Amino acid sequence: MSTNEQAAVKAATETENKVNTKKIREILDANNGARIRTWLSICARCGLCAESCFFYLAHNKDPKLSPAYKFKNTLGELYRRKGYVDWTFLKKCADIAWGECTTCKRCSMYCPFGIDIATMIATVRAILFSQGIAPEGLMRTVVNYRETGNQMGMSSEDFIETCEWMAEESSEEIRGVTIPIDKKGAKYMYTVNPREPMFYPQDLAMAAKIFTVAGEDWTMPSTGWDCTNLPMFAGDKALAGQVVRNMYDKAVELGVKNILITECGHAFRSALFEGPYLAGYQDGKTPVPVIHSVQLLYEYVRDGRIKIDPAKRIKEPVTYQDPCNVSRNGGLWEEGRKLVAYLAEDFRDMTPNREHNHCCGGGGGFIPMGPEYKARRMASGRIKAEQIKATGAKIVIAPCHNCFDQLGDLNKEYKLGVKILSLKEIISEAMIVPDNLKPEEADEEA
Amino acid sequence: MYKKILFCADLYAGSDYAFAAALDLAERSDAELIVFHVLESRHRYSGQVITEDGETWAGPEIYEKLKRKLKEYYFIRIEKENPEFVRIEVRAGVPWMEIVRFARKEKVDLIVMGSYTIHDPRQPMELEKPHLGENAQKVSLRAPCPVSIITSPKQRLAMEKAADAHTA
Repeated sequence: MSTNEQAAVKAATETENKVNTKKIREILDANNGARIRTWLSICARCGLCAESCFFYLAHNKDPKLSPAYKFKNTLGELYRRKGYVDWTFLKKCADIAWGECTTCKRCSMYCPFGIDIATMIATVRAILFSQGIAPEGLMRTVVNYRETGNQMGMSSEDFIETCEWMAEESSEEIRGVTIPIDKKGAKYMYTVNPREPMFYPQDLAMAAKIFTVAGEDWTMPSTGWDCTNLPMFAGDKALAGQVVRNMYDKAVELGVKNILITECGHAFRSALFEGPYLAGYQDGKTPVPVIHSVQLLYEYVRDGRIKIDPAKRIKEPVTYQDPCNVSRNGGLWEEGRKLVAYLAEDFRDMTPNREHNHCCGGGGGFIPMGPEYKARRMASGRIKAEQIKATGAKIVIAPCHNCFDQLGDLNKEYKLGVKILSLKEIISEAMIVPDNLKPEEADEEA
Repeated sequence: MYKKILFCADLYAGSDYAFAAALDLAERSDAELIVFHVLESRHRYSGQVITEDGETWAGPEIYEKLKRKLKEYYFIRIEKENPEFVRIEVRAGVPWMEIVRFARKEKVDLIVMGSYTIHDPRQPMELEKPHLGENAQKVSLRAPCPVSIITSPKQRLAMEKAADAHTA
């Protein structure tokens, strides 16, 4: 077994025990509907999915990395053997399901039958999770979600304190900045990735400044504020449902009109498309509309609620990273580009782009799977690094935390010499602050 | 007078001067001294932290081990046996953020720290040429209370808060 394989199944070997075939069969039976049966039987081995997969492209077109091979040799085999598999087989499945697929869904677009391979890989992950197998990094976040409702294990008290801290700091730059907590009936309930209050609290400050200048009616919830959903990637569907319910229930309790998702890709996937099913909403609809930051920020600038200072538009060449779950799966590729056009003078698109863009290599739980997976992330991220290099851009805009961190790592690994920025970062710097919101000292000087 | 003093232990010998100054002030002011260390998260997307044994996941065992080490290291520098006025706290994250977060939460009156931030552990420290590292800079810019950066054994902290001195 290679070093990579060893890393992929570390958690599995640590908790090695007897295979619980009954549980595997239960999950197989529960998913044995027309959809998966058709997908498993209709694949014509045409190979079109292979060329769409960045793992395949980054590893010298290894046929074992083609999406068709991956689902056939995991879920396909599990069905063929009716769940009677051994521990070694499950370890191999873990290596594929977490180490060789980010569930970016690019292959589904290229499959002539539209086979949703990511959904099948997610089912494999659920089966593995039922056996106590999942990467350690994800397992640790699962414990945190269970205990505190968020992936970083941050207490509500610390979260609210951080909001107060950031509001205080921001009010030194823009008058009247507040971060309202649990405001009933607000237009937007802003939910974030716990990485923000934990490691990048400035992100909260930037959002608060933008909302203040836009005159937005917004709030942050004291619970259900974590819009990420790593149990969804760990294969813990029950907890994934609970995580998204926490957010939905809070939105309903507060009577807010929309849930707003921060610049995070998989959070959008969880809250908008997978969440309703995970949370048990049979109609697949969210209890309140879910909006992504890319959409709202674009509307602010388009409608003139935020005005960009022409002198502060970015002069250096800029490219835009389409996060899979914001662009391809979320449909916001044009909004992202139109917004960037307001912010930068020299935009250079990657090839391929929009819904065809490659995953950064950090999605599907890869980033929080932690440093032990880093070597694999860097190897498969070569495709993204080459895409960026070919644009000649000096700045990469990434409206997704996973993309942001992965691009940061790729930047060092492949010496790209670029700067990774979020939309909030650029907008909060370049927006024109109206005179009535400028701090008092500035008034006096004027 | 100071009631609560936060000493940020960076675990480099350079901050021993800061500890001595913080201890001296705490003893004279009859204040509580909090010895605080942040286990740094190098990867800002996972709960892994850097420890003397390499990178590992932060958790109660890691915290307790470090608390014991900090106690061993600092308590021999205190004359009083079982000094009840000293409390040891450990957190994980980005040092300057956790220091400011903790200072706000505990409403400390003064932060005392060394100046050094080491970026490359393979490089030797240059104690003769102290400079402000990232954590010292960020803490001093964003802290909710005064911050004293101590770089020499000659530096002694005044007992009165700036505000007290002003009103006196």
